[in-house]
Amino acid sequence: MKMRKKFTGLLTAGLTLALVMSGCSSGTKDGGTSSSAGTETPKTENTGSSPVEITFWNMFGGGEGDFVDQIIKGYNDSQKEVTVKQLRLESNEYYAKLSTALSSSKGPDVAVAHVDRISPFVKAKQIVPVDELASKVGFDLNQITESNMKSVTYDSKPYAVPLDTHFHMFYYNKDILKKADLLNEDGTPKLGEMTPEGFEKTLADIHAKVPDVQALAVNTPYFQEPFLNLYYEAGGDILNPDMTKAAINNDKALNVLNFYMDLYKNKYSDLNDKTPWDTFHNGKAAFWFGGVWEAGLLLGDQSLNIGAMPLPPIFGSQTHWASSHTLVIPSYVSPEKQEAAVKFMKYFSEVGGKTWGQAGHVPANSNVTASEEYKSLPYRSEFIEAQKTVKFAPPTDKYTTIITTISESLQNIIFGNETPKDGLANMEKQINEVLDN
Amino acid sequence: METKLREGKGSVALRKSEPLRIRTELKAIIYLIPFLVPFAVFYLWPVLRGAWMSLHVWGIQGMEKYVAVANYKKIFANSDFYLYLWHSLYFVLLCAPTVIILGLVLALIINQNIWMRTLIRSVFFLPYVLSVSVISFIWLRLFDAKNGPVNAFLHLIGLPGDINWLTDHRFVWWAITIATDWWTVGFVMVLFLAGLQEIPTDQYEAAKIDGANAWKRFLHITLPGLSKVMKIQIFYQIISSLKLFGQVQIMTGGGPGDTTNTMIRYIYVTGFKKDMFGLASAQSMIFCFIMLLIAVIQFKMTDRKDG
Amino acid sequence: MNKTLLNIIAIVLAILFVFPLIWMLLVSLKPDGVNVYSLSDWVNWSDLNIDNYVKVVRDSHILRWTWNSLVIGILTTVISILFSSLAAFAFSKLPFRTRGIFYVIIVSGLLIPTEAILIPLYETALHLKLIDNIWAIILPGLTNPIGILLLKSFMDGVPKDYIEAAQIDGSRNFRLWWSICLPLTRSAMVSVGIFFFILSWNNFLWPYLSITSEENMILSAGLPTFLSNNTMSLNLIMTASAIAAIPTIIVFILLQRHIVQGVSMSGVKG
Repeated sequence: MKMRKKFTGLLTAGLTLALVMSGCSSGTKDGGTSSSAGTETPKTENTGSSPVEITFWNMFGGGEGDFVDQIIKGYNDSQKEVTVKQLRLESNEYYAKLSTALSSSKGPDVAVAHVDRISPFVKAKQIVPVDELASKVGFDLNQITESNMKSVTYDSKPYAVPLDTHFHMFYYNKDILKKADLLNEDGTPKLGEMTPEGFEKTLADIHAKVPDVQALAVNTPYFQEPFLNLYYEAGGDILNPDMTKAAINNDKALNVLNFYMDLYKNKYSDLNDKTPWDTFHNGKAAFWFGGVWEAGLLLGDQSLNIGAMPLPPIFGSQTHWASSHTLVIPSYVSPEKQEAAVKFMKYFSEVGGKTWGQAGHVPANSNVTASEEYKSLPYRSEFIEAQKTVKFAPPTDKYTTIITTISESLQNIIFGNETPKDGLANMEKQINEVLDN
Repeated sequence: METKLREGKGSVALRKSEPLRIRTELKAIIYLIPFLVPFAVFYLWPVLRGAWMSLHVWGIQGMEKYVAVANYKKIFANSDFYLYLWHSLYFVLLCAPTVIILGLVLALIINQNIWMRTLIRSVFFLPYVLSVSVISFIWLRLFDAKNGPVNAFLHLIGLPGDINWLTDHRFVWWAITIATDWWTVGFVMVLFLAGLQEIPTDQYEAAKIDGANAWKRFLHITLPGLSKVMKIQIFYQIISSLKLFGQVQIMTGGGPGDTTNTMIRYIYVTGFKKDMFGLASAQSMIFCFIMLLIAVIQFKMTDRKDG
Repeated sequence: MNKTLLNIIAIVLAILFVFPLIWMLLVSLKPDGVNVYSLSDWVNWSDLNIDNYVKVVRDSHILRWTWNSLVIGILTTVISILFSSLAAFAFSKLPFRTRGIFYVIIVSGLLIPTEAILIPLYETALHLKLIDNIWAIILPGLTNPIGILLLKSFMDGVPKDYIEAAQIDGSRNFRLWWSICLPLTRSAMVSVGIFFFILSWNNFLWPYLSITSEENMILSAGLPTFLSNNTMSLNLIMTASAIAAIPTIIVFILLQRHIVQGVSMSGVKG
């Protein structure tokens, strides 16, 4: 009976607490996204005295994340009108979260989106055109490289501000190559014959001479990227030219898959490596098809002794995968915050572009790429060279579905749940189903 | 639970003779309203709404067009569906028996007069109060092939080479099962403990006098005494194993390949990563149907045993 | 069976069970990049410090998430119990003819879990403008009928005389519930409440989908958002997990008797 008394006490206390707290939390609710946990932003009209706070969503992790932090800090310190607060989400789940946010009108005031993902948002009128907003705050969109601008234009209106073009480079660890006798005097690698067999032979040499490292770290968790690189080199396409049918079930794709499967089988690459980027960064792999965005991390530190060059034409051409980060403003954002968001975009493009260039992305702002400051960064001439042969995703609004399908099927193939042949046939079938809808 | 249901029915039958009086009805129903309102909005309505959505092509822009049963046809024609359904069932077959047996063993141990009984019971139960993300992150790292203590321990006892727990399709289900068993076995144990305490001790005394050994006593007294708890356990474990999502989402992301993709994750990916809500609704409906089927089988089986 | 052997088995098992938690704590206290792998790592305590904790608390909303989990857990539990108790009272003590129908409808809620109606539930929440609101987590949490079943079975145990005596006194139904049934089922309510609270605290998939902003997340869903395993060091992941786990562990140690009792009561009767 005594116990029961105590329980009732506990329950009553809990109830009171709950009521008090529900009061608190509904208080913050009214503030919406603008009030954060620790800081107390007064909810008065923004008359210049208190800054407009905007939420910025991105999926930048690892090396590039630090550069974004710098840009945001730089912007917040440079003026008093706008405060940018970021939410960094896991890249694999980013678009699931972003489309939830956009369709529920609860989420960011400005967000990063890859150029190949924005088309459905434009169609659903979930993001706004940026031209008028830009001219309002004196942001000249003509600074941005034309091809980048074109990629975000729908019905002759730009719906996003392109930040960069990004793609993969061929990074090599000079210390390991030296041990394997594959380093030239000038610090570039001796790659041998540029065929799948020739490249495999190079890897075999490394594997024989430096057995405790991976010859080539393959980005297994995001295998669609290394796959598309070599598949594009081989001259392949995801869809047919009028984007009505899949064009992925062919010998080119099969050869690329068999090539990678060979690497795994011969232990040149470790299928079970869940963090190949760390493996290479820690000096445990000789080669790495790494993003330009890793340049800051990998090339910035001299002691790592890492070099970079455009992806070697293993499968024939130099064509390789690329994408572009853009900034978008959701349509539910209030005019006041939209203006704040576009001010941040202006800063990100014009001033932040320099920092962004240091991270490794090739900035979309032509003023930045033309500057001496950018050109003097290590290996940037190689980047500009590599950028000439990039290939973007097909401009279809089903791209999200298609790329998810591709990446899932590829995972199945490389982990041996399906043969490459069956896997490709399956992929083709599924993509066609998606396109038929 | 099943006994409760029948009780409910019984009392209905009793009162059938009474005339239907609106006032009496309303005076009672008013007490149900607070529960019924959220129940209708967040349970009954979504079930109906899901059935409706499953007949449409439904993207992020909302409804696009009516397609009748085309979504269902697509699902049944796709081998992935059968595979992921099998994965869900496979996990039930792995997890439910292991967790029940382990829970029973732990309960039998704790039920003895051992040292530090309460402390040890708490230790076994403790993981159950942690959230699924915490336990998944812990085991994600414990099972790490290169730097994980699980492999370190296996090296220590003389196993050569590393086991790729989370990327080798022979081991990945066991890794998930071990993590899940560790997490939930305390719950199972506690229920068995409660069941054990309801078995009268004089039965054991009598059996001892008859010369029955420990194994026989377990078989003829303990197990039958636990049958009610056991039934509840089996039902509960089947349902919760079928709902597997958090552990695979965090530990494997459905991989390697799609080896650990389950029904729930299939629905999640179709709906939220591929933006095909209509198709995902159809998958949900099929999943609901399977759940109902299992419940019906369960009721039928327990009914027969009781009767 | 040999008593000593049994004791040893129990202790070995118990050590195996706490091992993951001890490991988590140890790693969370080690400097960035230091693993606990070999035996010597286990006993080397010289480099333990709380820097990681400072960093995680500073860089994430983890304290806020803990608070949200607590608020949502308590609200869901308290409201659920009250509503369930009212309904249980009607089913147990009030004579009405449609009760069979209602009972079956409500019990059907046991059959289909939230996970199976994810997509339409999301649609519903979207239309009600509940996405990214803590009520999006609380309201669907109120649909679990288990509380009704349990509390009804306890109210069935309330002697008829009590009720009849009160009815003769002219008490209305509400008073019957408030001053007789509610107090007499207190302990059952606590048990059910603990059970509901654990369910809410551990709820993962739905909060993961329905909350989009960092401030409104709960612990279980916030952790994976914050910790993408690609970018975070082992130590920070374990620190964040430890911060999420420690309050639960403390509460559990303080209230373990009631929690174990509550869970077993709800489980067995349910």
